[in-house]
Amino acid sequence: MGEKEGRKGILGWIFPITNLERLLYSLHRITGIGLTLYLFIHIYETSMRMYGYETWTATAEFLENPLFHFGLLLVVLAAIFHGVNGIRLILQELGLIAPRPTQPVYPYRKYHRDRKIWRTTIIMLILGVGVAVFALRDFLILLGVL
Amino acid sequence: MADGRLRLTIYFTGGLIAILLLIHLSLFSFWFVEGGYYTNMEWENVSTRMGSILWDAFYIILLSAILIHSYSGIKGIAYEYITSDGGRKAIDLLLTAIWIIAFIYGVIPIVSG
Repeated sequence: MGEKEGRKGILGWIFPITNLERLLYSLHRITGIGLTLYLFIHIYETSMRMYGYETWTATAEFLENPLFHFGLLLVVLAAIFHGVNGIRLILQELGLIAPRPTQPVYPYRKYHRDRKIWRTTIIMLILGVGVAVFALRDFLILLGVL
Repeated sequence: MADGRLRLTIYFTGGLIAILLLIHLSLFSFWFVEGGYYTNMEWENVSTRMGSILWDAFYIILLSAILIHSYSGIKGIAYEYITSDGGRKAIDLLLTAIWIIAFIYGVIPIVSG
């Protein structure tokens, strides 16, 4: 098989979505790239402070509209997902949430491993939703809804 | 998939960012600060924070951690698609240049007081 045969490229991040792990993997990458792009915009935006009070105030006023607030909400939600999923990956990699190794006895079962991963995923999901509720309330205030 | 050292860098900086970013975001939250986002975007409050050595250190560490984390992540993805030595050297140079410029551009407003 040639070196590039069987590669799906970037489309392989998304298709086929065969399981939760793969979906989380793809979302982690997509949010990571999005957050990197936002980082450069944020560095540029905060650098406006160097040009003094008037430039900073003008920048803050320019950013003061529902479109940017909604964009910021997406950035915060992406950061929450990326952070929570990242912590899950670190715990998994370090073996802190891995099941105890057991003697393989026929018939082999994999449900134990799957159950542990699902449990961790659900805990992380609850944590993520909890933090997202904090962020959502803030943005409803910013949008003038609350 | 990123190699071992790159992955460890991503994990270490990721853990650090998770803690520092919570503090950073809490500053702009209406839950913790009266006026939240509006209060902390005010010129006086931004200037007060930037005038403090502790806040300067905090933001320089946060900026460095995020830049190293994103550099490692993007490099890991790029390496999956660029497999030749020349191509990888080129992407290393390009990413390093962009990230150094971003660091300088990000640090100046912090240390300028």
